Amino acid sequence: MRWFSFRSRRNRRTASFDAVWSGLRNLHQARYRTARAGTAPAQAEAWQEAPLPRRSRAFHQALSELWQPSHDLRLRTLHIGGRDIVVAWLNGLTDNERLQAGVFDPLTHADAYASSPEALAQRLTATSITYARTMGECSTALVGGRAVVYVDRSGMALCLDVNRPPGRSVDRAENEPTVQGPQEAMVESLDLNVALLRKRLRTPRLKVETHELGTYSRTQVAILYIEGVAKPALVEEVRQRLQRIRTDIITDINHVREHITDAPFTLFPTTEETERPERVAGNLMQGRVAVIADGSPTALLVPVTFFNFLLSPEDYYTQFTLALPLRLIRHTMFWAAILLPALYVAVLSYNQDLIPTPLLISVAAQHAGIPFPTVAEALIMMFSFEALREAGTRLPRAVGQSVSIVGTLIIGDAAVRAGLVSPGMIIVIAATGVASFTLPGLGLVQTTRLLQFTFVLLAGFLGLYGIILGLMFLLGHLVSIRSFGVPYTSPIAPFIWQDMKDVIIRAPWWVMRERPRQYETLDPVRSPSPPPAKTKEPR
Amino acid sequence: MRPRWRWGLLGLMLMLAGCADYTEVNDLNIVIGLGVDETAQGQVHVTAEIVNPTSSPSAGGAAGGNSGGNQSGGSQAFLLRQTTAPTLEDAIAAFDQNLPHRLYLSHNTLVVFNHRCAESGIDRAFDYLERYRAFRRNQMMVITQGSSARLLQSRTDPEPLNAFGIRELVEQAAQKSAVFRTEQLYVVKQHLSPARTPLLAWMEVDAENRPVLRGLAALPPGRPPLYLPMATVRGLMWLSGPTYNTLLTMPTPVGKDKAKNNAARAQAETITALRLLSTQTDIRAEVLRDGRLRFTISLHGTAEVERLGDSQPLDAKMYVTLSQAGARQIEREMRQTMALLQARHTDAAQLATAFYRQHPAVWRRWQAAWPEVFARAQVIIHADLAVVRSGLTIHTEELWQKEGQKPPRAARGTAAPPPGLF
Repeated sequence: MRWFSFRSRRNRRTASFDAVWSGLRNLHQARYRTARAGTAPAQAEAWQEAPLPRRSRAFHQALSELWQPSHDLRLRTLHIGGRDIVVAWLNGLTDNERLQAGVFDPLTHADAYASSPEALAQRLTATSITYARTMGECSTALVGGRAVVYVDRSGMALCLDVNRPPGRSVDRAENEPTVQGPQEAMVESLDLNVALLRKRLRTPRLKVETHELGTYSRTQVAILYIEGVAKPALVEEVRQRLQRIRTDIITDINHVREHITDAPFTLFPTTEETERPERVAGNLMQGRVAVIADGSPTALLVPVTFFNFLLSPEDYYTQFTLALPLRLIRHTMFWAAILLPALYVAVLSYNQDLIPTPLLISVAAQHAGIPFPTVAEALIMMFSFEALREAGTRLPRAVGQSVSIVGTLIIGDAAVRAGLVSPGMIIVIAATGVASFTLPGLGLVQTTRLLQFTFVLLAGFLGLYGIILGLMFLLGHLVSIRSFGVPYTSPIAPFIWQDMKDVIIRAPWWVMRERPRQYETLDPVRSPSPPPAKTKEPR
Repeated sequence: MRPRWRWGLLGLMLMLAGCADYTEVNDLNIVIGLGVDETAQGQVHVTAEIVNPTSSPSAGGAAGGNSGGNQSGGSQAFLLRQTTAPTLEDAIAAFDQNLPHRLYLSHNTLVVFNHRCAESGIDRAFDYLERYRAFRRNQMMVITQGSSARLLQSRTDPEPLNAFGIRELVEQAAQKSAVFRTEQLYVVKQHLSPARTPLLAWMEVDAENRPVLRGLAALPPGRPPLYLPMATVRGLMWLSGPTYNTLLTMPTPVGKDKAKNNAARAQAETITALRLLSTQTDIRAEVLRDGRLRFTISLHGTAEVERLGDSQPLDAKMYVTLSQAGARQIEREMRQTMALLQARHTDAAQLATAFYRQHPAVWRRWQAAWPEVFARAQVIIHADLAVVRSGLTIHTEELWQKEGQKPPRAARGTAAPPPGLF
């Protein structure tokens, strides 16, 4: 038949994928060109580069017009030493006490000799003083919580650090809770997050490279790595990917993640997120690179492998012998979360001979009178479970728990009593949910939620054959992904024996002498300490 | 047609491929037992035991422990449906005409043949059960002299499903000896082995309508089945080996000490029980110069004293006496069974397999006349039993024995006492 030709299959497949890719790329590039050539960015750059007016009155007026209407902008004009001095700041971002003590008190006691910006800087007691010569620099200083002090006829402004950005204090890690080990979590402040890391890595070799991203948000995004450990090419790759970002606003680290990630259409996360500073510190020492954005309480860790998502911070805070069964459970539960409903559907719909006879009798009795086929029953229950889970997540915590309990107990029980679903299906879906909850990486949990629907459909249409087919595609896809140059399924595929000490098992610390080879670190030796010797009895 | 639609259509066709095999679990008639009877007119009468899931206790049904099917169904744990046709396969295919749901045979656990069926040869039934993909090779094969339908209707309390109960009776016996392993896999293997004499569990229904394991039935080629009652099966167990955890009861042996003989004779009618922990049987085949065949069958076993019939001290001499008496008892049972088998030209002990393995060239010459060769073969039987301590020696008479005089402890590898101890 002409419509299907094996000879041209490969070319046509490539052509179809290329068409999709090139379409998306062209669309993105066209929009990017429009944005670059448009009027709004050009205007934005124009006012940013404008020099400060010579006269204080003009400066006052220019700043007011630039920010108007902004009720939080405060402008004060002082007459000191025969000159007008304009002080500007954004209320809410500054500490009023520091403003009073570091700016206004010294200004009111300044003499005529301190009328130039340089001389005035000697009198002011703020911790950090920079100079601004353009309106853009002044505006950046203002949004950074600095007070801008302009001296008449100087053409230059002092920017004094009096900031107290609004934000919460360091709290417990809620998304990655552990029973043992440190409990601190990162917050939305970049400086505080870096400080949390500095507290754990007291070395100048912890490098923090800051980039400003977002035309409007001007979000500080930092690359963190350990000099002499992280592979320079990796750091350079992260740097280049960040510099390629052209966007108006960065509100969260996920925004950065989507810009710099490999394989953007895969369901599997190719970057790791964590809110635990000690986890970031530990991974930096493995040769990985962290990316932190101001305003986001999570850090990105790159590169990442599939097995990183099955490691819990708790593995390192308990005895190493106990980590093995826990990791085995997690590995098993990951596949159970994907395959359990699909296997149930396949076995009940196609391969009933694989079930033990008493169980088959029990299941057949449960199914008597159920109006839906098994696959539809599974899809209905999975959809309901996901809806309940979503409702429980979105609602306030107290209400969310109530919704979960109501959904699980009352709706499930009512559905069974009404003969809509069988009790076995409730058990399977509940077990699948529990299995997905055992996964420590939230990114992988979302993946399992989507994949289990796919596998149930495959099982419903093709039975176990469909599941095997899907697994082959899934494994093929997994081994084809890379994260910043590192194969996603390493150290299993490609197999790196030396890195297996922290995948299925967690070797004791005195065995983990080398850093993971998959990250190609500059300094491969991690801990040359010998194994603990047996204690000799005193003579 | 544009390329993406071709792929979409191909994917849709692939997805719909499974629809032909899609079967809901509640649309199945789960068969757990089949009875195959041959009628006087040469027809095959098949009885299917079908689970009634909603009334099955394993599914929380209300049937309780009262098994036993009836024709109307009701609240019984299982139903019996019957068809008659010229062949077994026709009879099973005929169920589609009188059963509303599809017959599902993959979970069949029991096949019962009646005597007439076995008498006229069940090779065709074996062939069908082996080849038809719906069946599994773990179904238990049973023979009954009565009607198979009657066996499938018997009560197997507390097991609610009759087929499971019957199968469990045979499996309990199979834990002691491999001769009771009458699953299809083993039966067909025996059927295809050199002896070509498969063994089937022999079950009957007693006066209370309960199934009873009567023994084994050997099905020699071209001959009527030979029924071996339990007493004879014991000898076959020793001949075939190995056995595990079997009980051997015998009259209490009298020691050689003359001073105790009188008192002991007075209690000679008492019974002593030995628990045979395990026995192994070695079969050695030799072709004699006169052209006859000689089998040397050696049994080695380990036993514990379960009950001692009189108050004699259980000293080292008594242990030796018990070992010898037990070995004699076993040898006697083996000889009786072997004599019966040779008289009936039925190689139920599978001696042909041993002969074939040790002398394949001679076997090929003699295989056509094997029943006669077997019947004329010389069989030497020797049993060796080691009675060991059970380990539960608290407050028994062994305590006052010297350590060196005690028999070996019951442990792995202590099948025989060390040489020179007694």
